[in-house]
Amino acid sequence: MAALKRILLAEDNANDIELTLSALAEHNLANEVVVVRDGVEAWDFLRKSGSFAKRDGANPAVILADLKMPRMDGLELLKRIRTDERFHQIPVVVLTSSREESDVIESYAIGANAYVVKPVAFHEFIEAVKSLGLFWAVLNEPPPDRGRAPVTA
Amino acid sequence: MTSLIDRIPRLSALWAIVAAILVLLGWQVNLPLLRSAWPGLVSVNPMSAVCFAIAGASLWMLAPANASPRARLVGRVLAALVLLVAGLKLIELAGGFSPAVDRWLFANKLTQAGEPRPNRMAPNTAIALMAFAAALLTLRIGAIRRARLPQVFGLITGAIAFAALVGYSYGVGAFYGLTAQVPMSLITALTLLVLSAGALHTEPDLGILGILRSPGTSGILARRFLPLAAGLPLLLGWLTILAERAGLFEPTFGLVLLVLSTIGIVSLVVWTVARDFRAMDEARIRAEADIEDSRAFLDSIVENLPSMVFVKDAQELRFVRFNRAGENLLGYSSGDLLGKNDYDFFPKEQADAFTQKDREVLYGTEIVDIPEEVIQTRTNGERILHTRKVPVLGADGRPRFLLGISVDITERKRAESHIVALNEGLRARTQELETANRELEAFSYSVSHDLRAPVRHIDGFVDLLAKHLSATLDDEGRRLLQTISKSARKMGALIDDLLAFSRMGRAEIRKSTVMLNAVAGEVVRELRADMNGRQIEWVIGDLPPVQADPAMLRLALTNLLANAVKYTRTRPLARIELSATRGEDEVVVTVSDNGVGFDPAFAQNLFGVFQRLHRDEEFEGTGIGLANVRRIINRHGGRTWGHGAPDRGASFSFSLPDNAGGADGGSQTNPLG
Repeated sequence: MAALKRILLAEDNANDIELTLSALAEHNLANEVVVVRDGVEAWDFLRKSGSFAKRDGANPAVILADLKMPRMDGLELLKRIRTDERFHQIPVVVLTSSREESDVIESYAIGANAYVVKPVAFHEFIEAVKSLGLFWAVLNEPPPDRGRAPVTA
Repeated sequence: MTSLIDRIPRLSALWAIVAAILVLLGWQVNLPLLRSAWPGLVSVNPMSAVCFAIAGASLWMLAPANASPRARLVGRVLAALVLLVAGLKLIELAGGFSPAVDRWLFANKLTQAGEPRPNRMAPNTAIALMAFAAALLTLRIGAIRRARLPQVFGLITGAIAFAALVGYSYGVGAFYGLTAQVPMSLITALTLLVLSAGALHTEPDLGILGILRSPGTSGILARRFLPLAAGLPLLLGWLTILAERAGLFEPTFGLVLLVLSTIGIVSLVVWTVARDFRAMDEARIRAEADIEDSRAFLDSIVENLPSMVFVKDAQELRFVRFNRAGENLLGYSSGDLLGKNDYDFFPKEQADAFTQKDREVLYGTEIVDIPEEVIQTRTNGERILHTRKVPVLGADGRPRFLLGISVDITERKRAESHIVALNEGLRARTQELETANRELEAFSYSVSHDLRAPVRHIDGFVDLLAKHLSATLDDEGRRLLQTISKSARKMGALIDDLLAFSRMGRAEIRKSTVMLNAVAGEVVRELRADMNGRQIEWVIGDLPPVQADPAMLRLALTNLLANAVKYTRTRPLARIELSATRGEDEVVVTVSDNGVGFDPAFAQNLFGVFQRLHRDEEFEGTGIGLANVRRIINRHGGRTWGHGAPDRGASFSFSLPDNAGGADGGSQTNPLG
């Protein structure tokens, strides 16, 4: 089995973090997850600055980002990732409670790779997280010279 | 360009100067012909000749209407000089002192051989010269153009000269020379006549000349009869005398001949004048009829104009004309208004303002436009007028009338301010609505995001708990956890439905032609997937195309048909019928079934949000479906209603406005549909 790439989970709600982690754990993906609590931390992580100045390793294989977070929300984070050439190839999955059409449209417009509404039923949630994690972290290993992100394609 | 008429004064001045020079030359070189024009006739006195030269120069200076002040002064001084010299001569004749001005020049030559008396200035010459000088001195005094005095004096000069000429031609000395005095010479008579013509022509448009030159009847009369009166008797008399002297006929015969020919020629001229006058009369009558026609035409225009038209005289600003619209507007009849001015109808202050404005109009050059003017009428209360005032000028360029045209814009103003107020209100309402809408959106966003999360967490942690306790959990424990989980999911479903319902109210409707048959077919196919072996008889009638938002209509149809499927679950053979009828201006779609039905007492409640007539254990659901249907149909401008009885089936209908055959030609949001 290929070495698993890291998953970056940006989520401010502790309950959601726990549920997501346990869902990922069911599929043996949990130990590869880095949790950050808002957009600013996620951005720090990516740029290896702030509390992540000393981290090692490459970019995460996939970023799961909540839309509504303090300090910097998911849309702003997504915007920055897509306009920075060091990160714009990283797949980003928007993971949120919101079903609002405007959120969906805007997320895709900025260049989200997927938009997943967190289902109320936990087993559905597990299924969603599982397929996300497997697809982006294991199956869909991006080649280094992969084409540009959808927003600029 | 100066016309010949305008040149006459200076030409005659030139004549006088040249004649004077010739005469003086005649005295100087002893050439009698130069100073008498005819052998044997009396010579022109040298001082008279000098007077002609001075008078000519004066006329030359004063003749142009635009002569400079300096030229005028010089001209007047010269005229005064002539007046002085001639006056001294007359004083001498009257027996006063004797300066003998006429003997100052060529004194030694004045007494000539063969002449009975020494050459002196004739008394009538002196009078004529004084009259001429007076004509020049009275020319253009003051600011107003007048020609009476110069022309009267000019005529006196001319009359004296003419009398002398007649005397010469008839050989009657009394007419050119007074008894015991030297007579007026022929050259003097001619020169004075020419100077008189010059003086008369200094103002050729005024007075006697004005009449003589006018194109009208007065001019014709003067031009035909003056030469006749002056020339005919002269000519005929002269011929008669010549004939008598030649001994052709007796004096009495000559007189009769003179009388008869005078009668004949005068009658002839009178006849031609009368004939011309008749032609002119006819033309005038025709012109008057034309004027009357066009006056009646203009009258009927003015009277029938819907705007108020009034005319005031320029002097006192009294009304001289008022049309019918004006009478109606102000509430006065023309009779009340004519001859009155603004002070008779309006308060003094307002009348002052109107009058001042009117004067500005009259003496200004531009049309005055008063876009808004409030006036108090007698019968119509306060009115707002848009008035335009125009000065009407006379032929002399001075204002004669003030024409006013007023449009009553009261209603328009009222409507405008009403519209402004309405718009103001509308803007405020729109703002309120927009604010409310924004708040609603923020609210549903927050519901969507914040309310769903805890519900999701409950379900998630119940699941984690169940796994955590899997070894020790008994059946009752599992059931309890399942109940918690079910409730959480139910709450999630309710929130989702509520949000969808709210979105339905806010989403924009995009109408196009929807083939109801096709949509119904698709919905039925989807529903069949969840029927797991149930027996359902579908009866789908002939459905017409309708104008609607396709996605929304599909949702409404899905809700109704899904309900029918759900509430026929207890029937061994379900029967679901979908039909449509086309009314005059709407299409009514009905879904009916043979299911469990409902108590018609609660029929109205069915369409409310989360209103249910069945327990959840009997038929699951959130109770949002019919509320959604009603909201969708309402937003299309249609109605929804339901019929039913317990255990006897139910039928639900909605109507959609049908303007496919209507006048406005169907969809407005989809011009291609």
